[in-house]
Amino acid sequence: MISKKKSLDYYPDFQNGETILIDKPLKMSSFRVIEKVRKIINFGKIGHAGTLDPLATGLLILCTGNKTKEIEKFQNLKKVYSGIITLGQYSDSFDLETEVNQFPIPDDIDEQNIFRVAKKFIGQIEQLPPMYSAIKKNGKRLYHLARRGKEVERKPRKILIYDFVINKIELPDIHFTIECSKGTYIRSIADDFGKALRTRAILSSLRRNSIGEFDVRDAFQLTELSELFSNGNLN
Amino acid sequence: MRVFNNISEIERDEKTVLTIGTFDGVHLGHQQIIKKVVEISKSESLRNLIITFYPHPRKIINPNSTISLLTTQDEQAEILNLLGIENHLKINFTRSFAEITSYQFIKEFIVERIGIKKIVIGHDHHFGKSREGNVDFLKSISAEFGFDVIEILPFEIDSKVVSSSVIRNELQNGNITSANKMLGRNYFFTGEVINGDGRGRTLGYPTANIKLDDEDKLLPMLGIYVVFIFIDGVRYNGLLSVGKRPTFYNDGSIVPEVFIYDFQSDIYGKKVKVEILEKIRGEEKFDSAEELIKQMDSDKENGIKIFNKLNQLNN
Repeated sequence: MISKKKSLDYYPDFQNGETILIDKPLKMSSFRVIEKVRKIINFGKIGHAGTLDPLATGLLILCTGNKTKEIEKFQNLKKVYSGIITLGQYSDSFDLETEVNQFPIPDDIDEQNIFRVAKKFIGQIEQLPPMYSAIKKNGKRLYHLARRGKEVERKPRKILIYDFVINKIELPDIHFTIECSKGTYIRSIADDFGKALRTRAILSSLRRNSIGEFDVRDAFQLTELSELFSNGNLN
Repeated sequence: MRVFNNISEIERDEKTVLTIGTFDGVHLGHQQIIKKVVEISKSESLRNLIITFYPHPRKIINPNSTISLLTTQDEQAEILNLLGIENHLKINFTRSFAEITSYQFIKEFIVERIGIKKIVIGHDHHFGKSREGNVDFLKSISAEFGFDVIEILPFEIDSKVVSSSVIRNELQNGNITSANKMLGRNYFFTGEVINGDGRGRTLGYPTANIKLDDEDKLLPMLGIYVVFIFIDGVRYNGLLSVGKRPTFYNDGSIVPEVFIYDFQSDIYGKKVKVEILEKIRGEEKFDSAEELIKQMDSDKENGIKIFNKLNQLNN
């Protein structure tokens, strides 16, 4: 495990398999992070356990070599995210990735209904995956279709929200923390949240705090990882 | 503490450490920020300043929304003073003020008219038009204007982020203990004792009906609470009822009234302060006055138990 939790006192065997915790920077795709890490560690076989949208930051777990076989184990773990839902706006992707439009906010929205609505999301719920998602339909990624303005039928999925906490309300911004199962789209939570308050909403900020017991506080920034592998600490 | 109600009243001084925000409730999270401002002003001999907004920006941005506040203007000022703030600028938050961009605000108000050496700001605080002003924004322009940005991380209690909205929600759900913990003090309101309908007296439970000093002040969930009531600076034990008095009325108006243990004096017209300690029960409707009296007897007993418990903790 390459994390800040313990100092690295051996040279990692990437072929045999390593797990690396990375804090993904803003505006970089998860795929691009893999490419960067591949260069830093100079090893090719590497994959991540659960993607993060380009506009999200936070914990990304990377596996190398034989460890890539264990990726699914990580994918099945509980995830904790914190972020901001902004009311009165909508976009096709449910975040800032596509064009944002304004939508009226009803006058009667107050903090009490926001806390009440948040509670309704806790438990097992059905979620319709967004059109802007990497899910495949007839061999095609949904987002490819979405970009061409197409909307196709999707099946709702059962997901589990362990906890959904409102940290702070600065309307139209709602700061939250959510603990959820595999397969949960936080962008869809934002969209559904807006609709439940009779307006629309987008996810304007997202950070993954943890995956299972792995915490972003123990994860390396790309620059830190690069330093770790360049200054000879490991040889 | 000097209070400025208009930006033109304050003299420009570059040697200033300041913070900006609404600071409703001045809770423990706010206090981290304020203490840092005071600490820097002492160690670096800078003028300290807090800039707040009134009325609450949400009232201006969304005039039909209701928002009840944790602290009135006066209460907030008193707490800021106790924390060591020396200068308090209150900016009248108007529609046109809401249109000012964060950049304009920093340049034209803060840098050019007030002066700034350091700014302390909450990690997730947003200000200015479209709330684009935040820590990252301040850092990006700090070199241009020559000030330092000190970021304060969110303050957590029992792994819950402390924020004004969370505290308001706790009070509105009757979770007094949790709210008080986040505030770092007992939640309180002030008001004047007014003439009620005298029913309490006939039921054997005379109460002081209280007219709030500020009608925007938040009252907790309808119910019965254990409180301290301060009359002429003297503390008495009491039971607060926040209710619509459903056994007798249907008009829906909410009246706070306090039964005071072992107290007989006439206090009409007196200013009182009520500190809320713990909830006993939510509001209930009773079929008869007899049932209500029975319940009040048991509330009184439960109140005594809670006061005894509190006394033990304090001894």
